[in-house]
Amino acid sequence: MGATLSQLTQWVADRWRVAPATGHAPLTPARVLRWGVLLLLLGPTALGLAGLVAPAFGLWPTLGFEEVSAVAWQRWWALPGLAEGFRLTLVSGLGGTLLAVLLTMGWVSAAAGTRFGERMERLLAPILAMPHLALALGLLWLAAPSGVLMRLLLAPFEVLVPPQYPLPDAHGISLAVGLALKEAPFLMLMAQTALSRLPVTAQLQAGQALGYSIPQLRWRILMPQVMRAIALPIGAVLAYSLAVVDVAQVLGPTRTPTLAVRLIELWRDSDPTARLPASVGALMLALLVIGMMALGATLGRALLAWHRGWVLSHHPERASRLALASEAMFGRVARGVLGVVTLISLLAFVVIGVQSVARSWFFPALLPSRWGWESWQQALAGLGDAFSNSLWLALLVATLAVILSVAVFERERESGRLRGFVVCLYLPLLLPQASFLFGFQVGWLSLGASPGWAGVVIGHLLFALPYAWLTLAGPWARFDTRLEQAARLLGRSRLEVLIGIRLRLMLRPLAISWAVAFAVSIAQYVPTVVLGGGRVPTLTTETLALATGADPRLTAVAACLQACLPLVVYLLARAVPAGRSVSPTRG
Amino acid sequence: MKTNHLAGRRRALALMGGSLVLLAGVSASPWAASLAYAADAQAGRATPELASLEWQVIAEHARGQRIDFHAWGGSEATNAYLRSQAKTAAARHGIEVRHVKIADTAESVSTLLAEKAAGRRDGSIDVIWINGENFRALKQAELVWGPFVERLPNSDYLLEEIGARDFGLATDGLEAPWGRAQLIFMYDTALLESPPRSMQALLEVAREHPGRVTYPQPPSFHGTTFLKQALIELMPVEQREVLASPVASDAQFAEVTAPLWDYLDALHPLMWAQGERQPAGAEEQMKLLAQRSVWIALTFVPQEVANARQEGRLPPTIEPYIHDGGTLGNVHYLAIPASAPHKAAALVWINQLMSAEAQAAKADPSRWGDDTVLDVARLPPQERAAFEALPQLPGSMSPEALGTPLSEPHPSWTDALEAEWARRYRN
Repeated sequence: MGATLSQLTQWVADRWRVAPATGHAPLTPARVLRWGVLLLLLGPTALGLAGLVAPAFGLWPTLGFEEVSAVAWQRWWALPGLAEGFRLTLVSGLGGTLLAVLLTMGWVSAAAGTRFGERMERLLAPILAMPHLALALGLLWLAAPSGVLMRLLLAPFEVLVPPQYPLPDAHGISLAVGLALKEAPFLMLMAQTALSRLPVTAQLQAGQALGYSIPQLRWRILMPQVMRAIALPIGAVLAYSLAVVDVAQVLGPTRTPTLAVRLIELWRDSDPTARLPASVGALMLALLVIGMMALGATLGRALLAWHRGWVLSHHPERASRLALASEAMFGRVARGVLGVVTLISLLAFVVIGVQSVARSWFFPALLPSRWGWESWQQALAGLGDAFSNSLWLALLVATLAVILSVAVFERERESGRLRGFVVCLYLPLLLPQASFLFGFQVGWLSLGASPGWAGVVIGHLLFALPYAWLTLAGPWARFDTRLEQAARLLGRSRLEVLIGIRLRLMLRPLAISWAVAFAVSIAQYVPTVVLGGGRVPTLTTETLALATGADPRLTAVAACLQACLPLVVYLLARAVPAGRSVSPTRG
Repeated sequence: MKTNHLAGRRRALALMGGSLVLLAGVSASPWAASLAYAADAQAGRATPELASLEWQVIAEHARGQRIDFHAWGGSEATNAYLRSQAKTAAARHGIEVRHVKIADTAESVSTLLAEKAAGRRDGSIDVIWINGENFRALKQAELVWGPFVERLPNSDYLLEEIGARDFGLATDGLEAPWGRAQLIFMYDTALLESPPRSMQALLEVAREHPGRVTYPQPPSFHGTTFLKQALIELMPVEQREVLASPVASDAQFAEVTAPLWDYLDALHPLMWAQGERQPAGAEEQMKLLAQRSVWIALTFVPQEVANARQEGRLPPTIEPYIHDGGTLGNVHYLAIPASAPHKAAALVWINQLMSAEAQAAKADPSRWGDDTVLDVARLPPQERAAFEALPQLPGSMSPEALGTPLSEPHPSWTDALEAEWARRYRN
């Protein structure tokens, strides 16, 4: 230990002595800026982590816990129903992710690039824009025993009361389905972005010339490329699904809830010392998420390797009638499933819309008995500030997130890999928000900052940046660098090449990444409340407060309002021309 | 190329080292600050200076201040009422009130705890709508300012004995009574001929119509209230005194609560969703009642049914009722955090909300329907008139029908009930 320490000091001293001589200018403005940015990003993460780790080991002086102890761990493991909580978390989180990935694979194999796929993509845009909670509520209002589907079924009969069946169920299945319905459009968008960067037409033409059918080529050639490109988004979906709270409260069981819900319950307990076991739980959940991500990555790699082997060893009989028929059959089934999924999601959206303009709408009425805009008027009366706050915040945060992502990629290219940095970038996604942000809040306030805009922007950035980064990572890595090399050889500066060649050709992925960051910022609740101290009301804080009330009409208005800004932005982003994969010869 | 790669790795190492140092420093600093804060609070905890000033001086001081009022924002009736009160405050007292709409009061408690841990004296909350467990948490952590209630001119007309104890905990003048709540139940006249006016009758309804009865899940506010109501009802009247004092021993708790667990064991399998799901709160249960998925709901706002029927949140067939032996009642309050930066304006705002005019508007079932904390009989005649002119809406509960509320058990019973409920039913 002593030896290593002295080596380290020696190393640092050498470095300092050597630095000026070798031209490593210690404090150039660029350097200061770079470290400033890194500190801005890593500081909150470190603060958040500290605020999580210290209570987990029994440290919380304000509450009278001043020595390291195992009390938090004992209290955590003594909680009733933990095993069931773990089981539910795994079923819903893994099940939801798996289902979303399967739907995306179905889309890539049978729908992407076809007219059906395009129509579906257009129809799913509202789902992409809708906050998770809103879609969950829409699904519940659609499929619950007193929901619209049941009313439709029972319309011919004189039924006074709704039937009884377990939906949401006690095993986390409805939760998994709900998560999959929300996440699949996101993964499809990512797959779409990946496909737009691939020379799809050329690959398919080459394959057809070799006698393969289009469906065969989609499975054999496109699928592995797309899956590799969207590995990071899948990881984010997995992390989100395992740690989700609001959706789990609506679609999951409540008697023994998922771990994430249990943590929020502990966090909101009127006894502040319940936060000690909550911190342990947060660490456990983070470990679970990391473990599952590692497992998923291993599994994915194994599957891709197996797929490669299969493609190389199995040459289908060309134009065999049976093969063609089964391919067509598979395509039809996949399209059918995707169609049903789209329809259900859209219906959920429509139900929310109808609910927002209903005055009274009670079972068994199929449609509201009275209509009116009063809920909208009521909600809008108090939402003037919230709307503009949300808009400006999201614009600022999304723009910063994309700029910083580009900076990170450029830096990565310059200095090899920054794995540690990327992990830090991801940490906010892995740790449960409430407990993670508490540490940040304490640290932030200790630094003398006041709750308000600055904290909220940083808080949003913590969660928007990883999404911006991971939506951009795939397309960025697959960019044809020969274009840039050519431009550099022609004497252009690095900045000119970045802006003139790369960013210009990557306009579509940049726009999509910006839109995703925008939507993430709009949907943030906990960071806004915790770091804004309530002084930055946004659509989400106002509407979530309304959603806790007994008025489903206001909840519906809230959902629509929250969805409208991201929806506009997604539609705009989709309208940005896809920078086609220009081959160097053509440039 | 290789050196470049190495440099990158070194930089990454340095970066990670740096963040570790940062992490260590940061985890130490807030704790140090919080210790300093605790010492300060101990030193200056005597009577607050401001509260001893003349009211006129306080009002002068308040002019031009802007306060952050943290209050649950889940009801548009409440929000609209507070909007109109804020307008009055701006016009009459020159103070700006910002209603911070929170989803759960625990969030604000969390903010105050964080501010204390960070050693901040200038908090972000000036007034908070609070009662019960959240007040206890703040009082125990010495995060509330006061006593101040007696300094408010409008406290002269408060009902006698109101607000001395909040869920069994002495308030010590640290929070001002704002409204009175009493547990009421509601049922659908189209589905049940007569309402079940006791816990036993409720069990009968559950037997007759399996899957149509439920209660909010403890430890939510209304869920725990249901447990306490059932506990009291299932006890012989002469035994109920023990609930006023703290839980004496595990054996006593087990003996006193045995009938409650027997009751719940019988009820749970007959409940909505076989008891696998319970509504998150009274609000969710009311939504289920509106759709006839469950047939009974409960609330703490006595005029809630009248208000909800008028707004179209509940069908016109829903009627309120209470249990024959009476139901639990409590008071909700306004408190000023110790770290509130604008205490003068906070006092003026609370005094305004306690005025006869504001209280009468709040008691109007078409606006909110929350019972007043003032003794209407003692008010000057012109102020009393506002209460007498309140409209009677269909679905309202008259004071006669409400009767005398049962008093809340000592908080230690609440804690023990919640813990035992979780132990029994969360596995």
